[in-house]
Amino acid sequence: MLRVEHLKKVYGQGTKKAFEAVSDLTFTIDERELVCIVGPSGAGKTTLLKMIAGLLPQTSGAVHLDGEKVVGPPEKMALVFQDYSRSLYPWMTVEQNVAFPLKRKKLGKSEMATLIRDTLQSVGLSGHGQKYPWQLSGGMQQRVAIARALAYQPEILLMDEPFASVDAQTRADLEDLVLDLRDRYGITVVFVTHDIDESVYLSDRVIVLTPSPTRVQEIVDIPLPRPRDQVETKELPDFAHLRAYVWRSIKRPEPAEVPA
Amino acid sequence: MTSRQPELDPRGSPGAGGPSDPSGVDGVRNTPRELAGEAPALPETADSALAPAPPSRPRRSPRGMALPLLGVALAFLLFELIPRVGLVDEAFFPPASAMIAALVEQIADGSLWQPLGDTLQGWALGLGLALLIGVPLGIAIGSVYLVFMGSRSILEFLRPVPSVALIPLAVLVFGAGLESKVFLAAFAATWPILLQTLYGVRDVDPTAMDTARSFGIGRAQRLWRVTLPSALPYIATGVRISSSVALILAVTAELVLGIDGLGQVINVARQSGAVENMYGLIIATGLLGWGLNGIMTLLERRLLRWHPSVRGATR
Amino acid sequence: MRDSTRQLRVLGVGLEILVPILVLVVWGLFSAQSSSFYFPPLLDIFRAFGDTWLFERVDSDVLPSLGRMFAGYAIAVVAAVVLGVALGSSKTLGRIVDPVVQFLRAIPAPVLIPAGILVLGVGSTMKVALIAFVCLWPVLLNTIDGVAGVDPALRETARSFQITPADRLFHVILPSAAPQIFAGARVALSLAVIMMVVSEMVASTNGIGYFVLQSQRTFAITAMWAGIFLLAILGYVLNVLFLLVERKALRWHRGARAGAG
Repeated sequence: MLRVEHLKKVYGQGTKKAFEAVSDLTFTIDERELVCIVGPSGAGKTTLLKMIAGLLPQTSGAVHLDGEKVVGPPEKMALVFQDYSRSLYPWMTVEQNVAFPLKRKKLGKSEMATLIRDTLQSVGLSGHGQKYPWQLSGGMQQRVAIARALAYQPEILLMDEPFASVDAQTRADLEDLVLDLRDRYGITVVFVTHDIDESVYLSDRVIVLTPSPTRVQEIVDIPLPRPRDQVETKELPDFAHLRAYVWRSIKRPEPAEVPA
Repeated sequence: MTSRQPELDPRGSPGAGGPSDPSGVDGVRNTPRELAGEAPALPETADSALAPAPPSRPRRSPRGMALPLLGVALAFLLFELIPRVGLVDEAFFPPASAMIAALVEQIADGSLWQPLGDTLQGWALGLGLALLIGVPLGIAIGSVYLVFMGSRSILEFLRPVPSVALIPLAVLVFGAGLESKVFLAAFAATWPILLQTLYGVRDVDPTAMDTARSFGIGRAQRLWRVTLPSALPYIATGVRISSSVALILAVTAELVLGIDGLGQVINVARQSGAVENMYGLIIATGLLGWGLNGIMTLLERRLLRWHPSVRGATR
Repeated sequence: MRDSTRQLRVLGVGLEILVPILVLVVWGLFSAQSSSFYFPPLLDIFRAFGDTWLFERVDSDVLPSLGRMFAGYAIAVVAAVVLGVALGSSKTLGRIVDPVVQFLRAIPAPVLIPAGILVLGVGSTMKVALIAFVCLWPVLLNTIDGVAGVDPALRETARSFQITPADRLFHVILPSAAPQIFAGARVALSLAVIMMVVSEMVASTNGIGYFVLQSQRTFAITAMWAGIFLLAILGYVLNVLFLLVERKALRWHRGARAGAG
């Protein structure tokens, strides 16, 4: 379980240029839950995610993962960035990229090879292991980043606008991949996005943030049936309602009551 | 660049300079065009106009050799005619054919190899020393904030110092021999490598770094597997610049101090009136510089086959 | 957390200012008692520096050196830009001259000095001509590259608005090639300094290069050090001046890139 309590981030505190990016955030995410965090652009979403990931020290408040306070990158957590061209290492092959974080796992050689092969297969990249990331399309590169995160065997997967730089069709495929992997690996997924459709389609719950200094605007339950389907789910009247609801929530200046 | 954490971000490069070459002598043809267009993954530095990129030479098709060859032929003709029609005194500037003939003769009778080897030795030792000093120092300065700030003003001042100014000091301390040559070449060649390494280390993509940190990769591993490879394009540019700087200083030391090598035999040829030989040797030195530059460029492209500016050309 | 970041920053700036002072002080103290012939006391060097360069030898050595250097450099830059614009505008011409220019640039410049002495003697003409010859190539290469690389969209826009060729040259082609021209000019500047010093060391009876080598040969070691200091300061000042000019000329360029980044 991930608990975020009164998290606050001020950049350059004590200087004239001090900027309060995140004001006061409190929420919890349960095991095996898929939660999307949405908010207007500049809402400090990435700042929040970096604090959860232990990459950025908070000004005050705390993040707890399974009861332990996060002070550095936790071993149970893996991160997928939006910008695959910068988070994949161009001097390593696909396999080397996936293997790179596994050093600390102290696996045997054959175990490691199996793990890499399996994860590449689960994201649909069998046979591409010897290529360099830049020889693949954008969507495939993001699959490599996801495979790398999965091979790390995390309990919780953080994704920072992972599909913002791929085309629409690829994006739909990757969304379904995430849903599929969540079910198969039984992991918790925290997914930051600015795309409302995407958030409603994927989530169990959507956390709506205010513009910065960021607070929680509201948390919206998404009781759409599973498994979800790009066509059928999106033509449900509930989907349209929820989408409209989240949309208005983002545009609304004041926090509203949580819907029944 | 906006995603960079404002916490501790002293990325203003040390003062004005930018990662261009200091005593720099090779044409650093790292163009903004290359940087902005062809090499998007290379993060821009504050002085991006001078930031390094591996050489991305226009891709040449073999059939396109006709024009360059024509150029060489025209140049030959020009240098053949200038003395022949009497624009300059043939005694001091012989026709191109005579220069080439003298060069060929010195290759044939073997007298070219000894000085060529001597010069190469000075170049290699100087460049090697510069690498041994420049890369570790650049990493140390680039990755530790306080070391960076502490050395900044000194680097800033020492960098533009013309290395040839140290010729008298070198001969005083080391005498007129190989040590002087190597000292001068190494001193001059250290700066480009040091500064390029420094900028490369400071310019590692924060996302690449965050990714490694998020997977709990330790400091040493990050340095070896992330920082160094990302800095490699910068370091390679530094080495390429340093290579030609080292050659210039080696030859200059030979010329001024009479240390064995091409510079010295060129000077001797002039003094003894062997004019055609002198020009032959100058051409040989030019070819040496041209060849070394070509080898360095080739090495660079091999080493950086994953880099955007190179892979576009080779794919 | 934040406080420690600020402290670190203050400490950093402090170091930036203190370390060079410390280095000078330590050098001064250690060399004060120096009996080493090669490394005279720092204060003696400063004194020699004052005696020599302020302003006794300015007229006889510094000005001739600088004059020759700037003359050669200016000739080279102007000629290279003019030639480069012409050659860069034609793909064919550019390809024809490329190997020759590449080769001439690759010659380690100082080996041309003996040839210069033969053809032009040991006077100032030889030095100016050599400096100009050597500085020409890097600027020429970069100008050709820069002009050839002008974004076709910019050229076509200018053409579609029927802008005159002169305006096109001065307001489209040169500005967009400027960053590369400056990069070449910067390389050329350090070459100019090298050639100035070395040509004076090899063949001259005045100039800073002549002075330092002569001081060493007559074992006037403090004078030699003073000469080295002068060259160091000269290199530094030239670099700063160049950057000032470049910064002013390329202001749009920085802005455009900052906006894109």
